[in-house]
Amino acid sequence: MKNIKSISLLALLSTVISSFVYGGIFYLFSYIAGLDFSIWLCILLGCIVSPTDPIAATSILKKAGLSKNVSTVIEGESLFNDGTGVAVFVCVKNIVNDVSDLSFPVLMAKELLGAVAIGLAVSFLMFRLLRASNNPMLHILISLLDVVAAYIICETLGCSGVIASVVCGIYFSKNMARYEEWRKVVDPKDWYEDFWHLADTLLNNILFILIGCAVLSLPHHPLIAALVFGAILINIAARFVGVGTSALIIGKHKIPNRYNTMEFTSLMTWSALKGGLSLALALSTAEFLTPSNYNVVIIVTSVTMYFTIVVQGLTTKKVFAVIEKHKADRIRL
Amino acid sequence: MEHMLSGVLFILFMIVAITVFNEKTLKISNDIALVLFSFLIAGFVKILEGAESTSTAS
Repeated sequence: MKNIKSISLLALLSTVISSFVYGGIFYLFSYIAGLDFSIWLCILLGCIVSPTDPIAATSILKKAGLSKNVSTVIEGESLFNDGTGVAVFVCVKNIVNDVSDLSFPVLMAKELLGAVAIGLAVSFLMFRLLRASNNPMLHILISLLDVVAAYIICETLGCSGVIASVVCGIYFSKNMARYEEWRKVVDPKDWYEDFWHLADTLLNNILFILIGCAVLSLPHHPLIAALVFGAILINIAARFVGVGTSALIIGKHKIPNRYNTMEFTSLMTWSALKGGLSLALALSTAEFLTPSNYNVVIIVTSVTMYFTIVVQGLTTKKVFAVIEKHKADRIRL
Repeated sequence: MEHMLSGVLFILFMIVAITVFNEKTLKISNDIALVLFSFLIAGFVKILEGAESTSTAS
């Protein structure tokens, strides 16, 4: 609970700032490179590559001795910024397509608040149903039904299904923990936990295989080399600005683990890996972008994803060690 | 249906093969290993496809 301010600022503010900073820099880049990208299309690209994935970064950092405080912040941010990223993406997509008369803040509020309300309402009803039964198999089915129902209702009403799913997950895990003793009696073999653990592992593994295989669908582009370097550098710069601004607002004394602003920002920038959500958002742009712009979006997203997962993922431990050393030297002085 | 089954078989085989290889030799994060190796295999296939289409054209 004590990290709630850091997590919410990073998940909301940092993602939005990163998306807009990314859009601004990419607009300059596209102007120099001669690409036909409007400013809103560049911001849309920023929304696609800004959400981080909790995948491997925290497990690597935990093995390297990362404190629980910081890993909670990284995981919490990754969990919530998916929803923020999708909400901003949908709003900007509507602006790019010129299909909505609502202003940006109104669209954001509709996407976010509507999804939270639906997620809570559906989960409340489903959890009451779950409590009425003592059958652990039925508990699993109800938890599945909860997520699917909330997602479909949100999509039908034009809210973010991803945010609603996150809300459902949090609601169920919090309430399952609250009724831990009752659950131990009705589900002594822990089938509920095991089912979700297995589903998480299996679906993540399939996702990572598909991410790797996505290289097969990479299109050719005359400016591929420039796009590769541009994508990597702009992503790091935008993330650094987004996290840095949030860290300044969080305040020096509230930053976990006695890091200063620069150390915290560097760690959060380098441990931000991009995953399947970015690729899914990029693929969904096929329906409204011109083929040449769509190719650029796919190349930039894929390069960013591969660079963050492979290069940043494999060097995060070393970067963490350097930051820890820097912190130790600073405290000693 | 057959395509779907062979797709599932391929993915499961990749997951098992990469995970076992990673646990025995590399010992890096399994998520990263899955992306890295499927990327390398798919990249190799793409290069082969490119070479094949070039030789057919010539």
